[in-house]
Amino acid sequence: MLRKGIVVLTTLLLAACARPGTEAITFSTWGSIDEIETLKPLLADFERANPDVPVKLIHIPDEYPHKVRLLAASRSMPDVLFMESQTLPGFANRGVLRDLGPMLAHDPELKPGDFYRPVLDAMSWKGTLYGIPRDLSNLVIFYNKKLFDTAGVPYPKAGWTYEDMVARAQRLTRGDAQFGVGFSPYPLYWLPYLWSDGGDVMDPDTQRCTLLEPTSLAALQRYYDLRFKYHVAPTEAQVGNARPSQLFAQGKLAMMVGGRWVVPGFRKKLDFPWDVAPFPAGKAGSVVDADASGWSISKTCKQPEKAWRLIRFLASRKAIAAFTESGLIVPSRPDVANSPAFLSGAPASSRVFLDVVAASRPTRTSPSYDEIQYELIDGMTPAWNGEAGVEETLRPIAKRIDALLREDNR
Amino acid sequence: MSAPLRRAEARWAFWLLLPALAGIGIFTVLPTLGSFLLSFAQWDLLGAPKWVGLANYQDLAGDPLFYRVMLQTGVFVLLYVVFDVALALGLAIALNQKVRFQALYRTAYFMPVVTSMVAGAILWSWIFDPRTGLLNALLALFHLGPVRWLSDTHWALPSLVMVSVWKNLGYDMLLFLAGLQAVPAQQLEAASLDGANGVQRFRFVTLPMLGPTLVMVTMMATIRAFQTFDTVYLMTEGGPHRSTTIIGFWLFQNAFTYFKLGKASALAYILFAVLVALSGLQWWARRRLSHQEDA
Repeated sequence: MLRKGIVVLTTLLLAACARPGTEAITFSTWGSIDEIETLKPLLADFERANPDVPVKLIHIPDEYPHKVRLLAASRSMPDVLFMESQTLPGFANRGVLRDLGPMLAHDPELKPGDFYRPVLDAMSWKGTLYGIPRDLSNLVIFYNKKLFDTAGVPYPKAGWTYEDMVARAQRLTRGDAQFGVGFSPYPLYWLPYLWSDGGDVMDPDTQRCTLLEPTSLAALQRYYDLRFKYHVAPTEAQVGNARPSQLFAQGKLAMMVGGRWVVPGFRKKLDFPWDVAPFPAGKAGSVVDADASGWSISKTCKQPEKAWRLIRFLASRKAIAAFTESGLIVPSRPDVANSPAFLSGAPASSRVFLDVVAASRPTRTSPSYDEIQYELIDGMTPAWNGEAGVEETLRPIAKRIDALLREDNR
Repeated sequence: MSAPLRRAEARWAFWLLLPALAGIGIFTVLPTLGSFLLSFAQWDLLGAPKWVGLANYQDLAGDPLFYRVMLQTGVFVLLYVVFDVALALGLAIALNQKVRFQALYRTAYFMPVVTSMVAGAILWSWIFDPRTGLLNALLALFHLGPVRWLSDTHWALPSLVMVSVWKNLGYDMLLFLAGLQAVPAQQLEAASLDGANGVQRFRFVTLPMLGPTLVMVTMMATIRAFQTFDTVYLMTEGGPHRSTTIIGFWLFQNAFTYFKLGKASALAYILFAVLVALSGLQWWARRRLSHQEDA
């Protein structure tokens, strides 16, 4: 099936490339139907202004890294690729992406100063820039104002702490009907708890797992406590597999950790007032992730100048503003971030997404990060279900992550 | 027939077989050989594979998860083969009788075979739902449960066995039905005239005649069980707590989630070796069975 699929895809791509005269620039991206509907008119604009650069869009809605790698293996890697900062190192490390530093430095329109510094860092690997960022992806606290008002609890605000959050959550929890704060087994959502208390999954050189160090253990214990000590986060027995964002939308959850991507849905669905606030400070401050996504050029691209023109267009103020208007992203450009394209509409405190950037940092990754993530999701099940303690659950996971990092560094 | 004619025929045969041979060669034999070479390399689909000798096999040998996966695969295969063969044989015997709506029953049991596994998986996820599922509702009638079928580390693997048996039962039942219908009526009649009761007729007439079918079905079921992937991928993704990670799924994960094609190829060849050994064993059993028939 898969092999046949590749053959068919390759043939189609070859056919597309074989158009006489101008060779199309192939451009792969993921994204929902809505995102693609935003992208398509932009591409049409670009093609009108650049008749010599027809663009062939390859939309891969699911399992994006997997399919891009298969395209690469069949020697038909797209010219321009939409990439995400956590999977970028795996590609950059193998030398399949072009160094975009010189192109950005010499561009007449696009300047490094057009983008937030941490976002450019997130799209770099070992000091080399491999992607021009579209957005910045981080986490904040979403809260239901109505539930806070009804219970007479003050809203969360910058400078609040883990203890403040627990205290508020306790007053906002009512049996099985309403919960103070969301709980997710996905590392993305509990890493801020770990980092804000000074812990991490691995050391800065990604040589060994640091989850068994006292700071990390204490931090994850505090996450565990939300469910089993303070009983302010819903357990699986209480809500099944419902995600925090679903419970929040149903008005059953006062606070949740979430990213900008939930905003378009919330704008449409929520019938109560809501807003965002920074993640509460732990023992080491309030630290969330600074991840990003943006456009890269593959080394196999035969017309890098044309590919760059496409990226220059997509990263322009106008295009980034178009991506931003739906509410889906935090723009990579301060000029768009400080404009109504980002700031108008709910949530009222959109600036929080920008304010937290200074104290945030990219997620540490390693080529085995997908496997490490699986271990962190599946392996932590006994602890997050309250069947075993945090440390005893983590011990075998840490051992396995150590082995994977050893393989990566071989 | 003269020799030149046979040569001409052979030439024809060659050309007629060529498309099929080319297809098998390009899409089966070459990739199989390629993955053998890959099992000695490190490759993430990007760039060129890097030769690492036996490192993939050594990594697996030193990985506790590998042994756990092999053990779980063994348990899965054993449970699957026992239940599949026993139930398929039982059903075939039942439906070989003259019962009303015989065709209807046969069709009903065969339905899952032609049903898409994705649809089947969704259906079973509902049946297994710990709070609203059919299975726990049934158990509740007997004041049992509730069982967290797919999220309990002890129940998840048996639950997947249940789904896999349901999926393929009809096919094996059909093979047994064919085998049963090949048992000559005269022999059964002769046995009953000699005073053999139903159990004795089955034990001494039907079962020996079913020998080859039994071996074949067991062998196919074993191979199928070892290769099980879709059920795991669709229903549990190897969890909870790795309890349903069996070799077919782990191989896929290594290849297409972790992009460790070398390690995945090594796993594939370990699976290949296990299957060759088991098939050898079953052929040997079959030869012994047929010797008994001769004697």
